[in-house]
Amino acid sequence: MSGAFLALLRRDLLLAFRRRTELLFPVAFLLVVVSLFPLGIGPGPALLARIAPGVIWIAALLATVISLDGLFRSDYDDGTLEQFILSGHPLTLIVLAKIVAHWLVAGLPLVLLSPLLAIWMNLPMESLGVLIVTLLLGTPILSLIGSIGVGLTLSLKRGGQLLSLLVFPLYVPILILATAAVMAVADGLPYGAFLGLLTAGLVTSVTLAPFAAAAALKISLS
Amino acid sequence: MKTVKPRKNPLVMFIHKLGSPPWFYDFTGKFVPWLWAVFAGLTVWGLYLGLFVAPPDYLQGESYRIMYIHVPAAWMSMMIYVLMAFMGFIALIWRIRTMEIMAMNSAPIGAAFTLIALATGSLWGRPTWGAYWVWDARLTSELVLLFLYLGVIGLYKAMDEPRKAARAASLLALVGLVNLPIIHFSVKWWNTLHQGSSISMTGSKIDPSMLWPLLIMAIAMKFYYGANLITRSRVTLLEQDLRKGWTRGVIGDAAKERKS
Amino acid sequence: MNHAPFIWGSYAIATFVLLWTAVAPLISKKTAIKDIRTFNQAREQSRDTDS
Repeated sequence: MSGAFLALLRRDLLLAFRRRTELLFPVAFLLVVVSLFPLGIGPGPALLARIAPGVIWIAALLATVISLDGLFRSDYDDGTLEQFILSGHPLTLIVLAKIVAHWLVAGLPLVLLSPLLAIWMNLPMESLGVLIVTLLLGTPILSLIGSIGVGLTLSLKRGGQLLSLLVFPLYVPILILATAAVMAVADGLPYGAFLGLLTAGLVTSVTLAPFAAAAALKISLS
Repeated sequence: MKTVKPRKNPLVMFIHKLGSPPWFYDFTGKFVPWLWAVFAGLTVWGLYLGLFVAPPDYLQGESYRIMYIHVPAAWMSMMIYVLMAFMGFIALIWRIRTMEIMAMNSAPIGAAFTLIALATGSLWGRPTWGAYWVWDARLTSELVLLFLYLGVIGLYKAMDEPRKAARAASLLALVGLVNLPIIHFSVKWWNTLHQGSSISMTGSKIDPSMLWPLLIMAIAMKFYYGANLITRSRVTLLEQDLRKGWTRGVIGDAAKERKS
Repeated sequence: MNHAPFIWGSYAIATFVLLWTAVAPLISKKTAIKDIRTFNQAREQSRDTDS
């Protein structure tokens, strides 16, 4: 069973790296969105520092939603997804492998870019560590919960637009917890509880979301 | 689906019959007017007690009377979501078509109540606490709830095949249900972090003369939901079963109703 | 501050939304019955002509 998981993970990563320029789209989007805030609000350093955690996290949310469409799209278009469903391997595991591949390709770059974004938004340097941890814990949750939305909207023509409406309410707790953690550091308050809750959220999502996403795929392909 | 051996248990028979569209249509048509009547009666009674009999509030004056529509609407917005998800769950597992239809028709009614809760909450806030909108736990959670409803409605409408669409939207409703307490809890927490005082009406004891109209209105709204849900579900059955034989009987009855 | 407009406004909005939500399916029902009638008339006509 883990053989299938690893094989699929390897395949998805290989496919993603064959179209390397496409990997840069979410990254570019993230950079553009974050840079819009100082341009739109004014470069006042104190104000930027205050809104930095929220801005960076909202940009991460938007970048994730944009990149999610590719999670099942190409496999759906060429019929591979149906083959996965018929293959007899547990669809939940297949979905999890694809989500892991997706996160490595679309979510991890967000984490790696965060120091640059922190500098742009004048985030206090002592908050950077916690910001990175929240992104490491939170972006996988975004991918996991997002995959359910992608599964549900897969057969729609304008699925991408509806996807944002579907997943953003579900993202609200993650956004709140992550930004609360980062802001707590700047205020000198304890942030451990927020990180603990994010971890709990990650564990819950890893166990439940692939199951729901698999159910969604079965409905979409029925 | 496994065939069920016919059992003599009347409750099981009743539930089984409800799954048949023509039987559902006929049966519900008989008591829907009663649901509307009870709703109307309770509303008149409740509003009379709430607007004319109950005294002004010590702190808020007259504006607290908005509570008689705001609070029942908010309660309904949450209750309907839970019912919608529950019916959706049954629809997903047992694929009962009337359940699918009732779950999907619950969404616009729930969204309407959510909208009322938000609007009346906003109008209550302005004279009472000075602001049309605050990001307090209750209003923010209601807003997120509205988005969840819109998502279910949007997903259902976006798919061509109604049964498949109902299953997809039901799954979405269930995912939203799991998330609702998490959302509510996190927004509440976020609020206590960023604002000193939480703005809410609960905490103060409600005088019985003010409580009774509230409860009556709350029950009245439940009858509204029931009546509206059944009305909508019957129409959906007509629309979907256009080509089926049983709908021909309906137009005969409708013609008779018009003539009489 | 006069509270009356807020109270009236709230009940007006609530009444409007509840009325709209209640009436919309009734309009759909008229359309549905019309469609059923049209469909069945067309079917009977085609049945009459095939023989």
